[in-house]
Amino acid sequence: MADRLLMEAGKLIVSKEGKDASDPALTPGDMMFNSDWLFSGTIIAAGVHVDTASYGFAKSFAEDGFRVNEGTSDTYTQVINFPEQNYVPTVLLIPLGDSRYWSDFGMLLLAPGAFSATTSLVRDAPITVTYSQIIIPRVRNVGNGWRTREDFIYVVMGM
Amino acid sequence: MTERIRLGHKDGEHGLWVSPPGVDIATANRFLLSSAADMLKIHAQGEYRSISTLDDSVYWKHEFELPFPDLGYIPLAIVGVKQGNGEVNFPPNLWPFTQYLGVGLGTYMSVIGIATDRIKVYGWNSDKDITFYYTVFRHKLLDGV
Repeated sequence: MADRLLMEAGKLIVSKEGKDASDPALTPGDMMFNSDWLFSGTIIAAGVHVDTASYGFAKSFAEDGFRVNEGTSDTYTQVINFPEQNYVPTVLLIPLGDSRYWSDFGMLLLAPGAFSATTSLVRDAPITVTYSQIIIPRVRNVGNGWRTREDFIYVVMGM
Repeated sequence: MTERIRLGHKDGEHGLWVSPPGVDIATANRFLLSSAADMLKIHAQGEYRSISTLDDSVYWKHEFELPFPDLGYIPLAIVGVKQGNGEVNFPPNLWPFTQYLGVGLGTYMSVIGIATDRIKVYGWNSDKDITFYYTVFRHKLLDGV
């Protein structure tokens, strides 16, 4: 049976099943954890953020599609809170489609980011991250002034 | 010598901590491993090449599912897409899958979603040959919807 844990001064390795942690020929793919790595998947928070802004249009249904980037007359900046750190962590944001359609498909739906839709859309200010918040100013339609609702998957990483 | 691994007592808690290379555990403000923090754990990972056989003269239809063992909840998953230019887009550029229907009608896009047991792709695209790369983590985002 393989010894899967190596712990000595300043070094901790956990190997995968069938691999000996003290084997000097161990490759990164053979390990579950190595204290020499710079990042090991530690996360501070991860979840789904659903916009609370009002809808510009009633829900409608297209047989093979769903609506994204709904307009809203609300202008407030979106904020996602996470446990306060003493450094600014790395954050991953993945844009989602309108949450009203998720139950129609039985799944959470990915979507393109609103910002890349067209040059007539601009974000009021850049997205920023602090010690405890992701701050997301709204995307604005230059032509008619409407803002855009945006839902996200967010991952706040321990790095 | 820098102390990087502590198994025992720290800041009023018992547990295991590993600080990043070169950082002392006593002064570390982030940890490579902490028994007080969650970590991303991979549930499924792979790639899928979709070569469409159905087109409407402009767009190619892509429809497939990437199954994984049912988690009972909707997990965190990331998807990258490689299209004709050979570059992998992450987060994926899904605009080629969208249709803009006009003012007041909004923008519709095809289904690319995450369920409790699969990633589903159903849509039309100008490229016949598309490769998806995906990783599913054992981290709950939502109950099933």
